[in-house]
Parts: sequence; C-alpha cells; structure tokens
Amino acid sequence: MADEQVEVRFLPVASPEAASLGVRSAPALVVNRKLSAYGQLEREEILELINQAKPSRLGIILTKPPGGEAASALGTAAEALAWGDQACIFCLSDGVLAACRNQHGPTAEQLETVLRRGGEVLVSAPHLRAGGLSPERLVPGAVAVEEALDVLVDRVMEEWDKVMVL
Amino acid sequence: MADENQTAEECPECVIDLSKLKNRPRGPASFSVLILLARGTYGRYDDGYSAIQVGNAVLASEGDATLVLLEDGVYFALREQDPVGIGYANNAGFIRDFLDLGGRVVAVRSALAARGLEPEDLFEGVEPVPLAQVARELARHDVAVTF
Amino acid sequence: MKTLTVLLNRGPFVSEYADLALKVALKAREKGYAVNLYCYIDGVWAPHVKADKPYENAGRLLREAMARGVEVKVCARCAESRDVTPEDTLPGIPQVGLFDFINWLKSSDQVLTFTG
Repeated sequence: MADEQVEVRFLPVASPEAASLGVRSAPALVVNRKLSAYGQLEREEILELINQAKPSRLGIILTKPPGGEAASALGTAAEALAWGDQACIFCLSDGVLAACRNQHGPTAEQLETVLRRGGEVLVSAPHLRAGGLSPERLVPGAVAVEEALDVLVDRVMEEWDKVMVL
Repeated sequence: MADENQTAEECPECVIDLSKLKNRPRGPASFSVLILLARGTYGRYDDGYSAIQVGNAVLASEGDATLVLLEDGVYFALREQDPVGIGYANNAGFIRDFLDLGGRVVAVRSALAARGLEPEDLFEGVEPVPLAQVARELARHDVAVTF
Repeated sequence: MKTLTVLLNRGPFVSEYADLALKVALKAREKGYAVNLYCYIDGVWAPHVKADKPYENAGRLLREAMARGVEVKVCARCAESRDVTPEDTLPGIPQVGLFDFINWLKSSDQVLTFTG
C-alpha cells in the first residue's frame, strides 16, 4: 500500500453517503470510498484498517441467458469497475449466451460497458460448443475458456475476494 | 414449501421464531452474509421464503445479513401482499422479523421502476438503492448466496 | 485448507444446476479444498437419484462427490415437505436444520449458489 493513494474520510452518520454505505453509528471510517468500520475505534485499529484498504477483486458468475438477471449481473460488474474495484464475469451454462455478439438490449449494453471499463469476461467453451456456438461468436474482448470449471475453481478459491452467482 | 400449515412451533429446527431474540443486546457480528433474491413472487414461493429463512437464521446466529432484492425479487417487499386467497402463508412476518433484528433490505431502484413500483409500495425500512450498491454490498460482506 | 460451500436450490434434470453444482464440488475437491454441499429447496431431490443409469446424472456425480470427501447435507424441512425421507436417498446424507448451513457459511472461504 505504501506507493498507492489512500483516501481516508470520517463520515457523520446523518450524511446520505453514510446511509448508502449502511452506517449504523457515527463516526464511519471510509477508506478508498469503502466503509471500513464505524463507531469508536482505537488509533491502532484505524491504522490497520487503512493498511488493509485495497480494491476488491469481485467475481460474478452468470448462469442465465440475456435478460434481467444477466443485465443485473453485468451492471453490478460495471458499477464495481466504476468504483475502482476489479470485476470478472464468468459465463457458465446459459450465461454463455449473454457474451455473444450482435445482440441488442440492456444485457448487451452492460456487457459493452464492462469490457470498456476493463472488466474481464470469461466464457465456458464447452457450454458454447454445446449450444452450437463457436468462440468467434463472442463479443471482442470476451475470452473462451476450454477448461472452464478448472479455471473457475482457481478464480473462486485463489483470486477473487468476493463472489456472487446469478 | 408444500406444507404451509406447519407452524414455527411444530418445526423449531427449520422455521425461526425470532420474537425472543429481538430485545437482546446485539454485539459486533462475527460474519456477514449477502442474500440476493431475484425471484420474490408468490408464483416462486419457496425462493423468497427460503431466502428470508436463511437471513433470519444468520441474524439469530449473531451474523450480519443484507437482503438484496433485484429483478422480480423486488415484489418480495410489497407491503400489501396478502396470499391468503391463493392458499399460501404470508411472508410479511418473516420480513418484519428480519428488519427488527437489524437485517437490512435493499431494493434495486431500476428493478422497481421497470415494474411500475414506487418505494412507497414497499415495507417501511426497505431501502431503494442504485445497482451500484449491489457491488458495494458484495464487497463488504463475507459471502453471498442467491435465491 | 480452504473451504468451499456449494448451495444447491434446484433439482436434477430440469436444469443444469444440480450437475454444475456437483461438477464444481468435484473439481474443488480434486484441487484439494474442503467442500460442503447443502441441498436446499428442490435441491433435496438430487440425492433421490440412486440407481445406475446409462446417461450422466446427478446421482452418479453425487456418489462420486461423497466418495471423494464432499460433505453433503439436506435441509430437513425441505425434504419433509416433499416426502423425501432418508430411506429414499443415497445413504450417508443427514437431514439437518438450517443452522447447520449457517455454520457452513460462517466457516467457509467462499460460497457458490446454483439456482435459477
């Protein structure tokens, strides 16, 4: 962390930002725009929390075809990227359909945003093949992964800080 | 659940009666769980029902829990829900228990708007939030489960 | 050893979720992680698939997962409401209350849900 910029703020409980972060008692310690703790803290605790502050690596596993849930999954990733976190979308099962090109609508728009903001989009190649789709069908930037479950488990257990599945 | 007539008293292992827990002093949580609900209608009864049971069990176990309502999950928090006419038990009591115990319920604003719903249609205490909040909640909870 | 808990909310055959949950569990075991599988809602039907079949099925994957050390539990209330008794399912799978699952959530490094 020594060579990284760290933004540290204490929010009063009545502020809109504190409310959006789920703060329950003042003051709230916010490091790099993320709530680290709230209430009375010792100096050492504050220093440790600041030391721990870093962007989260979020994994979002998508198993649904284009539609509401797919758009929400991709939108969540897009917002995380805008917030400074890292985000990877892993398309499995029918989720691979959301990564195919020449589509229109909210899912396609959110996917484009994720890629434009530097998000990673990995797609299960066996599921693509199962549906009669080749990797050439993917939007530019999405990557077909042959050993999909092998890579997925590595990401979940060793690389991502937090993971959700939609 | 197929058996909607079974009460909490008949199945204490599974359905949590939280009335006794509401007044206890609450210390710092040792773990936190994010619960995502994308199917909150009575047409998909067991998903919402099971999601709120997990939430209340987390709170009863001294954990922090946040229920995120996205897509059709937002229907779960409609304040005037009344499924008696279709033969199902009402989830409202479980939702109030969850809120009373310190659980947070957030509903994605764009999902509400897309369904013609207003924040006033929801139970008091449910917070309308932008989709960005889902990413923030994911980052600040230990684990996430989906219904 | 890191621990993965897999939550399965859907039954076999009607979708890929049960197979996916079990294949992920097996892959995680292969890589040396401790793995738990909680069968919830219609997920309680997965252990009901017991007999050998001439095609891939969740029952075979579940037997393999258990043989390789995946710990499996079934929600007692979900099972009871569907009349899925311990005698109906693969042996060695306890039917338990929800707090067993909460304890798994507490002690896991990561949790994955398969539902839809």
